[in-house]
Amino acid sequence: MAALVFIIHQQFHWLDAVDGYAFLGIGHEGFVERLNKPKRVVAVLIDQAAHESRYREQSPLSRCQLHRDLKRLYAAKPSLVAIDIDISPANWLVGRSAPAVSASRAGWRCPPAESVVDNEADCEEKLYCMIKDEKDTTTVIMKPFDVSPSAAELKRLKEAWMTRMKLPNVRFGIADVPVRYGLVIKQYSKGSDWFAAQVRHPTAGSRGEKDDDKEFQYIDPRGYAEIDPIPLSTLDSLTDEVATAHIEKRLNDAFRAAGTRVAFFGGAYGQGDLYLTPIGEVYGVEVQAAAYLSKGLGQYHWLDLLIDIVIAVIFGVVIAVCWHFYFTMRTGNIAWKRQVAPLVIVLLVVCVVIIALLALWISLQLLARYGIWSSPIPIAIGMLIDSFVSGSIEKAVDTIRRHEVLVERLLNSDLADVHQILKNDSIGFFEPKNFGESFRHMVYGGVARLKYKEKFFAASLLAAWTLVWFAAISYAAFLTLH
Amino acid sequence: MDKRIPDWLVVAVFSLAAVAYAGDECVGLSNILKDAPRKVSFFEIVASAVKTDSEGAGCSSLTSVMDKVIHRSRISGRRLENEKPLNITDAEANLAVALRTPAILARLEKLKQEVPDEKVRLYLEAAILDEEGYYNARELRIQQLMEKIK
Repeated sequence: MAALVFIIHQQFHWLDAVDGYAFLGIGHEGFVERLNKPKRVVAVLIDQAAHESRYREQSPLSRCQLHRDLKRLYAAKPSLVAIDIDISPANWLVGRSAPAVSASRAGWRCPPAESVVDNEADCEEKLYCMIKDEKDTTTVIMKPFDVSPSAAELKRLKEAWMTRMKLPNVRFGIADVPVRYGLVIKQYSKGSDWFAAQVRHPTAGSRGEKDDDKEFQYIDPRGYAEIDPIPLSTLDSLTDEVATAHIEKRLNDAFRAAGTRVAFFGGAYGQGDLYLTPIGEVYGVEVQAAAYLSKGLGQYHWLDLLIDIVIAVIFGVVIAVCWHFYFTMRTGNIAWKRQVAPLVIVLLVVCVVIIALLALWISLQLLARYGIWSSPIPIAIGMLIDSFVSGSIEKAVDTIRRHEVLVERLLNSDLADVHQILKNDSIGFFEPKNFGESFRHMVYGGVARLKYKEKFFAASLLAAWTLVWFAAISYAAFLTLH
Repeated sequence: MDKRIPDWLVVAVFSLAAVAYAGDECVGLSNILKDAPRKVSFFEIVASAVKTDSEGAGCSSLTSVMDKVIHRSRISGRRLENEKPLNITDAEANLAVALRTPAILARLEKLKQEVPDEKVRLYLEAAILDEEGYYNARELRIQQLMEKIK
């Protein structure tokens, strides 16, 4: 049954929603395990307080304030700055910069550092010039949001800007994250145009646009523990010099742990860019930083299959024993045993819970210690179906068959033999005594017995069922290993 | 790092600033990392996953995450920006910067010559400053106009 559940899951992804939520819980513990480890990347965040004070809740964000904050960050000498904010030219600023600067939209004519203040159009230009001039720092900028098809002029403006920003120290990344069933647990992995990939890899590549080209990779939830967030509001009371020194110190710490001085910069305010992840609700820039740190999670399907087989075999015995006792006691002649029989079901429920917890514990350990994701959900659902549906039906059929065989034998026997038959009612009905016998009976014993009794059609049908069963297991193994 | 600023001073100043920062919702990495979670046993994990009430649980606990999965509430409306009083000093500084730009100065001088009515002139000056992106200066002119027509 576990094999069937696994096949259906692999083919139709019908457990993805449940699987996602299981990952949420298990991944959270991976994050907690990693909390005391050194931070490997810095995230300078426009937090709610900074958005309300420094940015005056303006939308779009003030270019002048962005310029001031990014200037502090660049002064801390990061090797890479990843800006998760759409800083492309705003339509409403076109033609509003000072005349000396206006011409720079076609080329580069940067405003003098001190001559213009508090003019959004000039600040926008100063921002681009600063990114260009910080030649020792690579800047990854999120690709601008799409504009509506009717805004052709705006589209051209943004494209022209992207062309202008094609500099040796500037790269663009697509900042999409896949949200599945309301959760963000994966990142796009095919192609290298994605934001996190651009931060990670210096070489740009092309990404297929077709949906079926998109492949996903788990974001290792342990990465969230390695991000060092610096809310801008905590720098409010500091001078530029002290704030920069502070960021620089945090970058130095990250450098000691990771060997790079990477800083993310983005918004951590409002509700528009908030995602549910294994560590709780976090902002898009924090997801991007975790995606950058993530090398994905190991998914060894052969290990999943091995764990499933071991658990299925152990649990198969428990199910068989429990239902055997239940039906034997329930259909027996002893009154108190008939009343006690439901307790066996309670015992089975307890066993299901214990084995589900065991599967959960194994998944937790694999993720937290080795970065391997092995979902406990397919085996848990397979176990549930086996325990209370197929397992009980099988044992009920066995019990009915045993009674029928007994009645048949009694009807066909002499009166003198009745006592002997009743003393040993298993005569004529095969019951395996141990696991080996059970396995042999399942593989070929049942067919051999029917053949021996010359019930060839029944033997053929049983052989066909056995083949279907093995085919299902083999297919599950095939899916697992490919 | 700048040699003139000792590390201890940076840390001390930052710590003071950090104390001033307060955000009590379990949203965003900064808030989640605030309460340093301890390592918990497997049974505590299971218990916290079953427990659905996050009251009293730290932001970084599994209970808090599960609580977010089960019930989150979002404000289903848009807020209008709070009204902010005009900062006259900022506005005057902004106007001074605008007046240092020869092109703007020329446009404003031309207005002075061509528009004798002060109210109309203030209105047109506000329009020019808006066009040029000097919004604080624009607000100053609008305020002056409002005072004239009271």
